[in-house]
Amino acid sequence: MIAMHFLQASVGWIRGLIAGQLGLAADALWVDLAIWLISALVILGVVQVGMLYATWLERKFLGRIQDRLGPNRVGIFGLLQPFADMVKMLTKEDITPAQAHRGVFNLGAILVVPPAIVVFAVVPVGIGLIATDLSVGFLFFISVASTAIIPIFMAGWGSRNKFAIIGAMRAVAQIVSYEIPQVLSVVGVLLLAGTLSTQGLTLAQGNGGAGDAIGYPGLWFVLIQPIAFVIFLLATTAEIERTPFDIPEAESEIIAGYHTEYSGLKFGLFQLSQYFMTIASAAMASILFFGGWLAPLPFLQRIGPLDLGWFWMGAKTIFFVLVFMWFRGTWPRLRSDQLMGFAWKVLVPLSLANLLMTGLIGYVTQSSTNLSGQPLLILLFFAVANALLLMATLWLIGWWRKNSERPRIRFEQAAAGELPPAEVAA
Amino acid sequence: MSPLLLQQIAFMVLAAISLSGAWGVIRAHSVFVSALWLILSFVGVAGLYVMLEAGFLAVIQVLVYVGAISVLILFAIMLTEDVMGQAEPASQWPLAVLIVLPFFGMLAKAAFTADWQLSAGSVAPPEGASISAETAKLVTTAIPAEQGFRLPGQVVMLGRSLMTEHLLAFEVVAVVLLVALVGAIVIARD
Amino acid sequence: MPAIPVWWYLMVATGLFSIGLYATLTRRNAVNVLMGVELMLNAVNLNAVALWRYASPTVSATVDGQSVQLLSTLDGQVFAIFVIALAAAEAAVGLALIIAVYRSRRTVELEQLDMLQG
Repeated sequence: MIAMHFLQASVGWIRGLIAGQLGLAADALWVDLAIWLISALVILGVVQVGMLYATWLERKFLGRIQDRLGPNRVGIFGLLQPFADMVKMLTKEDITPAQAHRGVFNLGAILVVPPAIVVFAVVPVGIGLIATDLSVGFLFFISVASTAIIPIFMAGWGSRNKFAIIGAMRAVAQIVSYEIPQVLSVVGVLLLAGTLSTQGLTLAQGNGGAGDAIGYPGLWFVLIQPIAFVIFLLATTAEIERTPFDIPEAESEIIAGYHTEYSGLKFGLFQLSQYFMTIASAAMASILFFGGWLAPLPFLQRIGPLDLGWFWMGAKTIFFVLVFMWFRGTWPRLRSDQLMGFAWKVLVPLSLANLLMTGLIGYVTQSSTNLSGQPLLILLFFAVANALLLMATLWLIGWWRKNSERPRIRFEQAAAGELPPAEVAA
Repeated sequence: MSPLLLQQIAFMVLAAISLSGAWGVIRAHSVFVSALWLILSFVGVAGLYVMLEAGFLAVIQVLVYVGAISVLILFAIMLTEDVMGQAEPASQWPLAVLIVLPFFGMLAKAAFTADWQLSAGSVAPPEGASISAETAKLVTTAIPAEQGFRLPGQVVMLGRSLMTEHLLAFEVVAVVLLVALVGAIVIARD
Repeated sequence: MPAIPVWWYLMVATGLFSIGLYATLTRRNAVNVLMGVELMLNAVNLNAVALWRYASPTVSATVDGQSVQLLSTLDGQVFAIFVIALAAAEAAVGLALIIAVYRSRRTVELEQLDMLQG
């Protein structure tokens, strides 16, 4: 709590400093504008550098997974490689195909970046350290991220290239489908936290927040909602089109999907937005399920007067970025129909069942006076319910696969002469 | 520059965005470009919702209109149009102008002259502001007394409103959506 | 009073509605007609929200010790939410119909869909 007071005081101090520089009262409109501008610049700077080193990290990490070194020529450990790549990308020739719809083609590349930056406005890194603490923060993230479909469509259509159009159609079908389990899985968390604000969601997992609603302060939602977390992580991987869900740009099938025709800087913009969205999604996963900027243990939250919120937020974000890269390094790409089937036949029903379960247990535990002071009992409830749900799901999937594969098995048996002739005829 | 003027400038910009988007819909030569202008218009209207302090609605507008309905429209265009195709020029436009202009005039006159019985209320104060018990009853009918009168945010109040006063309409809309979804799949499949 | 008079919003809504009406009346492509309908629905929503914000009943209340006038209902927003939900349903069914028509007639130009003229 002392750290929080200190931070609030320091935010007030920054406000006063800016007001002093501008010669205005501390609550003047211009001071607000200046603070917004500064937070925007800070976000841009941090995310930009983060993106550059995410590419470096990805190449190093994938190299490690694949038992090779990764970039190691430019600078120590290849640390300057991102800058070399940037220069290479910027100096390439900028081509607009002759048949392309010039306006839509160029606008598509430009518009793909803003949504990926704007979502960072609702990522908190400490008390008061958030660009705008919207009361609908999580919905804001989802809706802004969903607008990224439009530039993809524009890129695909504007390129006048069949691979680009196929890629765009695949991307849009995929993003629209996976949005549903992504949001539905989080609704359980929102129910328990009782808020949509990202700052509120973080605080709900801390001491004395809405975590009290389930009677156990300081509990990360991943412990209460493990299935929801897995669904969210998978759906998010599909949303940001990373392997194994990168079918829209599967290079072995449709060249590079919707950005086939882009070169140089415009191709760089697509890369940029994809890494931005990866970082933003990693941040959102840590906010929703891993306590955001809260430390794992309360005494790690600060050193002396220094609040370590930014450190924990950054550490968790990098952890999830690494998880996304780990997915890429270890899983093969899905087929298009498998991808859609996975969303609609597995993730959507599972997230609905999870929502039902959460609502039921949340209602029972919140309305029962005997249970409200028994955090471990409630945690046990959720653990048992999650385990049951998981077992039921796995059994259903196994049953379904056995049944869907029966014709093939029978065919193979028939081919091997293992079936009696009467059954073969039937 | 005062906050008032800033708000007016913001309004002008957003109104220009939504109206120019709408204008683009009827002026664009290709159906696809029309749809893009339509999206611009949707975004402008979402901005106007923000100015009207209906933040939740603005987010929903972006989520549903930009993220879903526009995508449906773009998909339909891709599936039904020759991609290079150009839209036919507008037909019957003189007749349409003859209908639309008087209609516009009528609505505009109504907007100017009607007595809207304006009230000078402010939207709910920030989430968690402490209010008196009487206020809690007045502002939202559904806050249980034992919750200690911390004012919930607009989203919570919207939820309560949907689940109490407008419950029937809410359920009917839910059924309509379900039927529409099933119907759309049945119609569109081979 | 707020900085912006209510009729500014109403004029924007009127403009959107008229343009949407013009689009539905003149365009030949069925998808374009649907866009016009969406524009009109947006205009209606904007009207509902603007009039909710400016002309719904208020109550005097004490918030953090200060006396303020609070809007006592969120009806305009609720209506807009219902309209958005129905617009989504309408778009889904409408576009499914357009695709079904395209399958059988290979066109979505409304003037060529005149099978009922005998």
